[in-house]
Amino acid sequence: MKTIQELEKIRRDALEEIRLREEGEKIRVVVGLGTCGIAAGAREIMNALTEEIARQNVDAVVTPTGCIGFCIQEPLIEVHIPGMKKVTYGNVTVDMAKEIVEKHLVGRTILSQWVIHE
Amino acid sequence: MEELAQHILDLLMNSWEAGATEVEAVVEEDSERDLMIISVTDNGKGMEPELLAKALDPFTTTRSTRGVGLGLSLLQAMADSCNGSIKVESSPANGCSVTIELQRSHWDRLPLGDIPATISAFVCAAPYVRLKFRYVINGHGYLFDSAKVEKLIAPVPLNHPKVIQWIKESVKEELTQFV
Repeated sequence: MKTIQELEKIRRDALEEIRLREEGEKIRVVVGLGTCGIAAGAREIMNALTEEIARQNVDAVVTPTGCIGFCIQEPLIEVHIPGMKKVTYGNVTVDMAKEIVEKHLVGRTILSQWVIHE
Repeated sequence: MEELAQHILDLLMNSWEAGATEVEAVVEEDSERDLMIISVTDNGKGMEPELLAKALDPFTTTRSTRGVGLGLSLLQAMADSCNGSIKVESSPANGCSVTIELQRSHWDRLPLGDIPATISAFVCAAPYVRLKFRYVINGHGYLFDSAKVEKLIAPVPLNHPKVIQWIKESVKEELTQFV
């Protein structure tokens, strides 16, 4: 059961993290959430990314964008890591999204087999 | 689209792109009148009458990157396929409101789908837009209001991954009890 007490704990932990972390540019994962993205399953990708980021305790934020014109390769995500080049992954599945969090966001290794643009 | 909840997310993202600060989605199921009514109403920048007149045309879009906009025309096609209708009301002063009415029992009516996933994805995408989601079934109502969560969690932003997870799980639990 999800309780308000649990939310209160998330709040305390998050405030502590914010206090400890140096102010800097965060990792950003951008998900295409236009009509084409949603129809291709981007909502599940967005939720899977959030879930995995929460589970692995990564300091990253998931944000949306509209259609970027590669509708055929949706769901699309862009990974922005400060100091690294921007990478775009296409035809992303839930399993791929989790692996991208683990290997790219945490491990800093680009999964080149899924990259459509860098 | 495979679910009504995906169409709802699409409409919510339209409101986000229109610069709304508040948006309300309502799903109403009425078994007596055999109706399912879905509306999304926002306080965004709205549409001038000229744009509103061709809002359902797939070759109408406000984007400059390409010449098509499919969201509302797909929604219209979906409504048509299950004996339904669509209404788009908008003006620059009043934002925009899209309402569809569907025959609830129609063979081709899409399932409502994963509402918790739609709510959590939208709050994650647009943490600064207040989202109210109301679900009314045969007169009984459920309400999610992102402002309530925001109040409890401040100054932590609503799109913190753990907060998004909490929202998704708690809406899921509450809806299961409700339906």
